[in-house]
Amino acid sequence: MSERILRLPHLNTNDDSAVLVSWLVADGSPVSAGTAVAVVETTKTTQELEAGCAGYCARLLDVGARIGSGDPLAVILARPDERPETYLAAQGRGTERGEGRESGEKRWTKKAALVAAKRGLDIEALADKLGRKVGEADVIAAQRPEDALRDLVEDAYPHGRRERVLLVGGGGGGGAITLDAIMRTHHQRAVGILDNNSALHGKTQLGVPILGNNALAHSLWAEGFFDAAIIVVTASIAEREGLFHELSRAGIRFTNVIDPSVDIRSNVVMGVGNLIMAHGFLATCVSLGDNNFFASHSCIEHHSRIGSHCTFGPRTTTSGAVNIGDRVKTGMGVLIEPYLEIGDDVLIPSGTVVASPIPANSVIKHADNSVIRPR
Amino acid sequence: MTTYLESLRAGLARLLDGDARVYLLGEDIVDPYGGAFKVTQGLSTRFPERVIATPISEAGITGFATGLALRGYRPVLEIMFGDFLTLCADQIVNHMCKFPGMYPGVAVPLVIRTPMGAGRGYGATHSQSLEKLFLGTPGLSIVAPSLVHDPGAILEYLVRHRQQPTLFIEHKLLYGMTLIDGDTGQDLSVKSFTEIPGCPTMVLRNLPALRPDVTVIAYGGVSRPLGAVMRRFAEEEISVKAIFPASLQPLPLNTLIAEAREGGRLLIIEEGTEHFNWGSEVASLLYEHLLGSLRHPIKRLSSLATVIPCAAEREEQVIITERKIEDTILELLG
Repeated sequence: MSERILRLPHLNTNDDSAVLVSWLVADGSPVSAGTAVAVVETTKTTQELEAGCAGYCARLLDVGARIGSGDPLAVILARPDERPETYLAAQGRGTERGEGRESGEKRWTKKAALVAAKRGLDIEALADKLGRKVGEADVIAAQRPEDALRDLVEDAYPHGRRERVLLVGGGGGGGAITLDAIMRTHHQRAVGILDNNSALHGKTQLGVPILGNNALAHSLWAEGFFDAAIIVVTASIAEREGLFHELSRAGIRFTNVIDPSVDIRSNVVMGVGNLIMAHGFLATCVSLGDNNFFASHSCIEHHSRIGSHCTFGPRTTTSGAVNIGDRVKTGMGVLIEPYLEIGDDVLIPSGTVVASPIPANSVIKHADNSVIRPR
Repeated sequence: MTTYLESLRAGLARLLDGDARVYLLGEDIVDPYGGAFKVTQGLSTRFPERVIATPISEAGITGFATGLALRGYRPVLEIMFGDFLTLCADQIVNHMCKFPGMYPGVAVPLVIRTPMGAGRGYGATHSQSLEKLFLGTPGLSIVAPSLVHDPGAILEYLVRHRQQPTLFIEHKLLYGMTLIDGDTGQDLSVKSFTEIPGCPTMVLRNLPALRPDVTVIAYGGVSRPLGAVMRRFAEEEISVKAIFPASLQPLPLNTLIAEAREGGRLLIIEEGTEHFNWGSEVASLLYEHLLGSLRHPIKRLSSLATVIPCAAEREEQVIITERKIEDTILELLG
């Protein structure tokens, strides 16, 4: 069909059009393929145009007309009594060159198609049902309410939804207090618990499922099941630290879980993976590293610095400007005097009043109930 | 209804008419030829003393123009094809841009006009967009008006008021096109922000009542295919905002940040080759200033890093086309 329409070819890089100089055959006269039909002139030269097939040449333009590249000059009719308009109408008026895309009546806008694809809606069915061109508004109107609700749940973090937190090593009591803290926040929700105690797998804690061993964190992260992890293990600092390094290396993100009752003052800085339970107090200019666990009522006074992977029992209290290293474990009710230096890997039992610096790798004995003099 | 070329020619005529210090220099720019792209046609007849055809020596005439500028003239130098700027590089980089910083009280008010860009089958050495080679040169400003600008008015401002050398990039496919303004762009809305004096940033919308689905940052010749895509996308309900800074260097950063912040996926398009280009700098600056409010990575679209072929079909595979822009936008939204 297209070979029957004689169009102006793109003749050179400087011209998008040419002038019809003369016709070489009479209107309606028979031509064979390769017959020179017309002469056109560009800014560079004149050029003969040939018929692409045999037939009868129907002229479309008069001598002197300016024609754009791709525009038709003549139609080579199959029979002398045909009208050229029949061929042109079948072809459409578009140019052969250029970047025009699919033609024909479209049943929906591209935006409608995009929105429908995102929402899993069958746009063809919708077009059939409406019997007209489908727009974006039609797609939105066609959505069932339950689809909209599902969309809310599946919207990607962090826009309009809570951070999904995975508890690692959270099958015991530490897990319960962590879940309780998360439940009281508005920006986080717990989506699962991991624990190496296989007896707990398949059970729930405060309604949150215990999914499997701690190592499951890797595949859950790859699936996009959670946005960030928190380590709940407190009994073994070595295990706590090992898990933190292992999961960090795998690219898993850690969050801080901070009970809303915790009071954090100005200029406090902290890393990630810290778990701070109810009624803690972090005074101004305190700094924390990563992966620390502070049980309830921990009080860290101003300018104190605490390293990483420490676990503090309830009511552990430091005075101002205390410097505590990594992997320090305290029992309940430990009190630390101001300006003291506590080295790495120190163990301080419950009720101890620390009044002097403690070197690294030390275990402190609590001298309790000693009689200092008779009454 | 003014074409890009008519606007430039009128701007040059106003300059020659109003300021005796203005000289036009370039190869084959005098009548009857009137320049390879006819931008200066008629001007040598009206101002025979100050429209001067030069020998074919780009380095020589660039140095000559620098000397004129140093001596208080306002030369406008035409380099016939932007591809030939490589021959001027020593004069630009090591001389004209350095003089103001090396010698106290010295200014080099010089504009170098040159056509860039592909789409006419001119092949590997007459189709490039080499402005990226000069981006980052200290002391040089680079301006590339789009179809939404008034290129003649910008040129006039630069020649009259800029005290430092300026590369003025004209995409050769724009010359014959009608400018998009309040009259001709009824279906598109146009806003102008002038952060850099004389070089406005134009913001074009196809569906101004809707939030943009995509915000495109581009310049110069990209306005031609992008404008066509925006007109088509209006019927497809896809809202596109296009930001066209006239000044590539320095960047109107505050305007870019404010306009990019409105939302929509960000896409940077340029006809220069991919990697280490204008878009890299724009994207990097936007990341620095918008981190936290960007919801998606910034996408860049540029020409392939290869030789530009002559044959139209092959050329289209390498350069920026309407279809590539359309496909990229749909991919971003899909």
